[in-house]
Amino acid sequence: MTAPAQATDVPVLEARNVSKVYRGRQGSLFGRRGEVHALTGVSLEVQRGESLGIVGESGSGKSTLARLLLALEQPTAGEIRFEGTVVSGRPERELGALRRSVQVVFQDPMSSLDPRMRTRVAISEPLRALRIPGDHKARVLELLDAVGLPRDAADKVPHEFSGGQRQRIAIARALAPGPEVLLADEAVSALDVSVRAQVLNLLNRLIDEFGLTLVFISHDLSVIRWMCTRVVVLYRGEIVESGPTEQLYDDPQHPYTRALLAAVPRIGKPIGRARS
Amino acid sequence: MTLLQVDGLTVRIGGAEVVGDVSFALERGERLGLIGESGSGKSMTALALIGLLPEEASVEGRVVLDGDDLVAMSEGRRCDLRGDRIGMIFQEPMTALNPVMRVGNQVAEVVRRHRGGSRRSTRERALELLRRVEFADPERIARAYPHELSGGQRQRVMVAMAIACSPALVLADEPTTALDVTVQAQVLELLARLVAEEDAALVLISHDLAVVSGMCDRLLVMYGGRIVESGPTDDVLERPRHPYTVGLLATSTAMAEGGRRGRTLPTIRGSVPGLGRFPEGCVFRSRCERATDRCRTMPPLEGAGHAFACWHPVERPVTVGGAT
Repeated sequence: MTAPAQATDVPVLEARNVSKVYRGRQGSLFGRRGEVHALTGVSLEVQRGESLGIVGESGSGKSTLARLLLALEQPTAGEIRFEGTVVSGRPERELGALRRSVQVVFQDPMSSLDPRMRTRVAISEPLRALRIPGDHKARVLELLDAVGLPRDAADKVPHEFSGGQRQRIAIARALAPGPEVLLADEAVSALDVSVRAQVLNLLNRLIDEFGLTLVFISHDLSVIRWMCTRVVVLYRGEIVESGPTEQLYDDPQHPYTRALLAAVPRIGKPIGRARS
Repeated sequence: MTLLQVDGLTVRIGGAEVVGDVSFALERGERLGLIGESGSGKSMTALALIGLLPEEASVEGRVVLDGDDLVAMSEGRRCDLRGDRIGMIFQEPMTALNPVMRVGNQVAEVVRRHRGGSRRSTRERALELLRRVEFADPERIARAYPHELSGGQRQRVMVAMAIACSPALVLADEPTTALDVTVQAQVLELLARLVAEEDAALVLISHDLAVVSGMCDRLLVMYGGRIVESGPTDDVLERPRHPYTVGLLATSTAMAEGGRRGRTLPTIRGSVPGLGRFPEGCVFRSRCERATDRCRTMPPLEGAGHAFACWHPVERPVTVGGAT
């Protein structure tokens, strides 16, 4: 976990003016080939130790941005840097440091976990894939403790767990290689309210315990507000506003941010003057 | 005047009780919210109300709409009621709409099925309904197929179909859960306005306390297939008595206050048990901090107006966000 001290201002993760255009398949004989501009000129810096929220509705490009930051896809223009080094466009064999240091938790652990794979195998998989030496068995138990699962969970398969427990397994696996950055893409969106709170508390504890940098992507403004110190708002592939969380929520500047915040239902706030 | 009277509604699927002894009444024009997490039985209750449960389910109890028991009546008669006296909106309009039929025809079909009329008159009625759900260009929408519309547009088409025959009751099960928050706000306001205009009663089912409490006069809180608390919305929000409601509210309100990184969110311990794995007696006792031996016996849902099923209810008003 103890990375060598970096020159202070180098962001751990950075997007420089990235755009992503998806082109329709060429197979169609008729009609124009469609182009989807998923992201246009997006720049952001993730500073070590911060919790950055990326908020947007469907079609905002937030998941595309996640895949670019993880170097799972290449930007059409612009570049992604990890600790100052360009990682976009580089071959997989040069991405070892990024793969170890930036890990991800997705929304649905049922589709990100192999249904036949026992927990111990699932959690230690990144250790094998990244050829990280050491006692993998002991590491699995250590991680189960860290995410608050009993040790006998190691020999069970995904369907034996509840949704919240499965997400804990996904978090344990993400932590296995000892990353610096945890990227959570709608990681609590599928969970019930009471379980969601448990997982958010767990994430906050792990962030403190392991000194993690968090990139938290969500459509849920209240979850972002709870988790993040800084927020960027994505709308139709562009960043329309960014700033410290409290400032952005208390005094939104962009009309879209205002509309978004106004649309959030609140307990006790009547909708459409429905209640008399 | 009572529109809907539900008495001792119990639903079993494969030996597991998914809805247990649910009773409540709904007045004409009243808006009732049914809140619960996954596995609470809220959607099964909704399906039981309109007789759309899966075939393997067995139902006991009575669901009386204007003097007619929906559980006892024939499927043919229930078909006559659905879409006519009862309008329905579900979470995923893409599965509720016919993908190969133009939207206008689907709206018109509801009218024709229950009201009859000429091609021309049902067509006009469909366009009028699409206009009422705020489509600026109803002719274009009527010609579209469901996949050509956005999720919000599709759900507005569902609202048009639900109110097509001026129903006495609109049943909406997670109608905006799949929508973006800005679209959700629009659809909810539309639903609230149209239900009021039609003077219909509303049963709104959701996991989202803010949505349900914003829309409804009265709340039913469900857990483990049971109603654990019910009452006027403001009473339940300001003075929740069941520990489950208290826990749910504490989490939701703390989060809404937000911006307190480093603080811990209040939680309810454990997780919702799987189907058929809820404890005997009080269904919540395996997660309840107040549980005692007494909770091995099921507490009755008691109280005039504001009722709760708990042997050890929370007494003092909860100051949410405080140091309690």
